[in-house]
Amino acid sequence: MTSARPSLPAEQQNYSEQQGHGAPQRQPAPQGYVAHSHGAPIPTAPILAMEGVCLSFGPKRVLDGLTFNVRRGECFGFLGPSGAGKTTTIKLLTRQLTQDTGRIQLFGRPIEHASNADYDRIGILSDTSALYERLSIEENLRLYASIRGRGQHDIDRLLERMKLSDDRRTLIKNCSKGMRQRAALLCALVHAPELLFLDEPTSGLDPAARAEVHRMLSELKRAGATIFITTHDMAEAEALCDRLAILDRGRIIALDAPQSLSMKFARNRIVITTRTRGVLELTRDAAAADTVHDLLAANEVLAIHSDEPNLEEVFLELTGRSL
Amino acid sequence: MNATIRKVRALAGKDFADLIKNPTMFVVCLMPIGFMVLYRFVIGDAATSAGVTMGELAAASEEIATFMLGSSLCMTIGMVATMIVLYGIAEEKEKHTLRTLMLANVRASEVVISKSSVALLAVTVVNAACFFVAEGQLSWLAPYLALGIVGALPVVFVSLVLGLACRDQMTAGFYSVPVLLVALVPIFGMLGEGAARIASISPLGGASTSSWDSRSRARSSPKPPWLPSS
Repeated sequence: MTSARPSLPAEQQNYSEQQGHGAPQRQPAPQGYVAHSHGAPIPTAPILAMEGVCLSFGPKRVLDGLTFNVRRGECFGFLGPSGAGKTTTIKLLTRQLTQDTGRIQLFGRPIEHASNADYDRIGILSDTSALYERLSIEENLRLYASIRGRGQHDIDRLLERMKLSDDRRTLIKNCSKGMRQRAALLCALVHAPELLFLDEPTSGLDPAARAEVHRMLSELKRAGATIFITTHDMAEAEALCDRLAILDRGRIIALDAPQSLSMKFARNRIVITTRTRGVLELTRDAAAADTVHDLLAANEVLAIHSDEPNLEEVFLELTGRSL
Repeated sequence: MNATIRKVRALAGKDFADLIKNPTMFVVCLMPIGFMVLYRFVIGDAATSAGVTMGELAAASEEIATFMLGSSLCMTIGMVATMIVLYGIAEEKEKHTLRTLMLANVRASEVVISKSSVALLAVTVVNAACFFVAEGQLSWLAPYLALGIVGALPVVFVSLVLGLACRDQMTAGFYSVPVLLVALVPIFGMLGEGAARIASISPLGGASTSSWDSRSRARSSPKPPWLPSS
């Protein structure tokens, strides 16, 4: 690691004191935090930061100068194709790997100095997260609750939330992939972590289970938890993330709010569906305004859409490749 | 410290439940007891067919019990301790549950303590069962169980190291063979004085020595005709 770089911003709030035990409760925005449009606090202090982080496996450069920070209470997404370095980044952030160069800060301290108490504030659902197959869903959950030093009283509520109450006594080996994934997510959430690392959490889930996971993550976010999520699902990234980094071949090629990314790469067009003239694509300029006016006057307009690209198109635009 | 105790308790509970629910491990735990039951039948049948009287059989009961207890000790430690620790860790590595535990802020030392505790507990329980099947004298019980725990410690340690080196359960099967052979050396040591000397430097040498002493005592006393000739 290099040591000549300037230090990253330090923590400004002791957030752990605000985290209640048990069920996540919506917190009023404390001083120094920005009130989100949904009413939830979006604090400004970074809980997690990477600066110029590089990592190579042999001759292959896997991560190349990653620089970003994750603010408290936000959902930060890493979007990219397989092999882009998403899981490797999570492994670095959770100390499963060590970077070649660069700085990583966790809870305002260099990650090398992170204590066990810091890791007790983290929940991780990795791509290889696995539960004990000969134990039931409930037994696995109780095991992780005991390990994390949490009471058993939250377990019923968590199982209910993930719609696993009826299957609580089902052995993991008899569970579907979706049930396993939801159970693994519950095990990562059982201690109500401040910072949650999720590596493709909805991979392999059916649409209903995926929606349930999204709803749960949204609630966690509203309650003030910080979520770092990797995904290659564009819709998921758009639905969940406050900010999004698009990763390609170990480099961040874009970082912004999903809507801002879409606007940044907007094609400056509007699409008008008319009664008799079909679908018209117009450039947003004065001439188009006149055309729209005329169409509206002639009662020709069935629908008007602005034509912003979705994230997949943004990725295509940035890399020349599809996800 | 409290956190470590809490985690070890949780892990030990999980390991114990897994031991009961894992048919392979459970059967391995029953095998030494099964062998003891088998020995009793074999010895009883051999004595009956050789025309040994009940009195002669009773006179040799101490030597029989010593031989059986020595064998059960080696089998229990060799099979049960190796299986629980070596296969247990290998399975956790293969199925990624060990990594998941580590990500839940569990230290390697806590996993090691948990696995070792459950292995030693299982060895003690199986040894106690074998002891009663072999009809050992009650005054021997405490030293016998203590010998089992002390003898199991190096086997557990070696199994831990090999378990961490294993990639999967198949590798564990390969690695467990030498551990099992070393643990069973004292049984072979009962076959002769030379083998007994080699066995005496093995982790379970005590079992060999006590069994050999027992054999020596048996030779100096009138030998029951149903005992195998050396």
